[in-house]
Amino acid sequence: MHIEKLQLQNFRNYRQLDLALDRYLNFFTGENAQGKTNLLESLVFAASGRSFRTRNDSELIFWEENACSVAVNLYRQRGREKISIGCRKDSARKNYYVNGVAAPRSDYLGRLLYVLFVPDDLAVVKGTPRLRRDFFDSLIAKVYPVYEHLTGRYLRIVRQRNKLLRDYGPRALGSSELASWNEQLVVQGAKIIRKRLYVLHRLSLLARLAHRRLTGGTESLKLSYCIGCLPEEKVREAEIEEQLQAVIKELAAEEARLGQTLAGPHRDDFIFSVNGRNARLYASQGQQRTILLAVKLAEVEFIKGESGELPVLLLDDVFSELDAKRRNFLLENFIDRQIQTLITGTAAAQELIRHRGSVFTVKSGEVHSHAARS
Amino acid sequence: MYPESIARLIAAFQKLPGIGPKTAQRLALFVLSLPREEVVTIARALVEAKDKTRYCKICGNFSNEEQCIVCRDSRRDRSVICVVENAKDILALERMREYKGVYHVLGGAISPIDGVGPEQLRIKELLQRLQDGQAREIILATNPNVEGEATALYLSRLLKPQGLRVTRLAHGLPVGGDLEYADEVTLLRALEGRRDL
Repeated sequence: MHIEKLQLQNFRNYRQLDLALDRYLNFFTGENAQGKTNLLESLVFAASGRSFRTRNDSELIFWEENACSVAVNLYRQRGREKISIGCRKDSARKNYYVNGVAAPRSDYLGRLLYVLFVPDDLAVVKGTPRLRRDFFDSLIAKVYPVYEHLTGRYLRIVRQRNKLLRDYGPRALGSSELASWNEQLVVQGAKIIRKRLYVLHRLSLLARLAHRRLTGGTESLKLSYCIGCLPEEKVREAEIEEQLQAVIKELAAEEARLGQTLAGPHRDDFIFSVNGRNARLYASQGQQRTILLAVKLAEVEFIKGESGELPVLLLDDVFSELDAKRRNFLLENFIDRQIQTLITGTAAAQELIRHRGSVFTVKSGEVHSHAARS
Repeated sequence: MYPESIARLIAAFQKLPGIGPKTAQRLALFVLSLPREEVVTIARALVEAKDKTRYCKICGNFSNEEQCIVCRDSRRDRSVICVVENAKDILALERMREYKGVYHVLGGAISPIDGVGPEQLRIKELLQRLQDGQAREIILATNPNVEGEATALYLSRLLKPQGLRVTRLAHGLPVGGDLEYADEVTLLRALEGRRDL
């Protein structure tokens, strides 16, 4: 798929924008704090109903205005489509429209498929398990709209169970009340773990291929899933419920003491390993970048495999973070494969683009197009 | 802007759920336009409803007498008890006119966050009711959210060992709706709860 047009109204520092995009490559350059990233943010907001920079939607609205909207004209395999999203300062509800007709959120999401790469992603390899969980959860939710509902329901169970453990401590142990929360925790938790394993297995394969090409075959990347206290090679997919149940039983006294749920997908971790060594502990800066790049590449293929369409690629200021070899790899693998790409960056990286596409200069909430190069 | 008597009436209406300042104002002015007798009837109805309504001593449903209209009805099948969270759920089930059993109102659902545990619900009363040995089946009709589910699981743990048939309402597609218009979550539930033909 690709984006034909982007229209903004009172979004961040854009009062009004009507921008036709190039089918392949779009490079946004300009000084800092002019609104380059805001453009990518508006697309992610239109795609997912959420910003990757803030949880507070009112921050997205132009200073002293009450409402903002983003409209995107898409070209998809099955035809053209216009999606738009609006939010207001005085309301927590967002409005979703497909071809001008109000649509429920669940029907709206998943129409604009994208892969986003921001400098913050580089923290995923070495950061906390929570960062990795969020990273993969949002990836999964992109392709499976129901996943968000599963995780939401699961977290509610964990919160209720934690409160029970805190209120009653050891007295909660062995009670029917705790048992009924355990049962739900295990059933809902297993659903999430299965989905994560399914996605990870596919992604791992694709990421390994990309990584091998990126490193010239010298390094081998593996993604694996680690269920809390269980080493991953001991995870048996058919018996996740039983395994979770056993772990919960084992941790019961500890949980009652701490007033916290200690096992389940909210505690699990994703592991990147290179040549059999855990990248969280051993990877260099350069290796982290290569891993992330390989995962993003895998994400593109994964989305294509699951949805049948190529996503749009959004690269926020990461181009300058990569060396020439990796930049070329990106260009060859994405742009030459007909993937529509939007790149932001300061002027320096501009010369690197010899490919066909449009160059835009962003200056205080306005976008100026340069003559398209061929 | 309004004299105090009207302002107080507007403020009173605004306490009702779903009533904002504009609607409250409209209602207040409408009340003023009514003949005095009408207003007295409304006022009396409010107070009487509050004074005379109590809860059925058997099932916990709304009632004017000691027992509610369902529990008093000798034609109802006492071998089936449908357990609901709130009395208003009974009204919904009764509208269907298909269910011939009796009810039991829990008065909520297990939710540690809200400080509601099994002790706060009318579970003891349910167990007492079962003493007479008339009930064969308990239908758990709590809400399909996390709290309702926990309550249903809790009750089934309690009741199954007593040799009762314990059932749960099915979750699934709305009847009369097209498959293509069902949201993904409902569809997933329906898929998980599919049955053999």
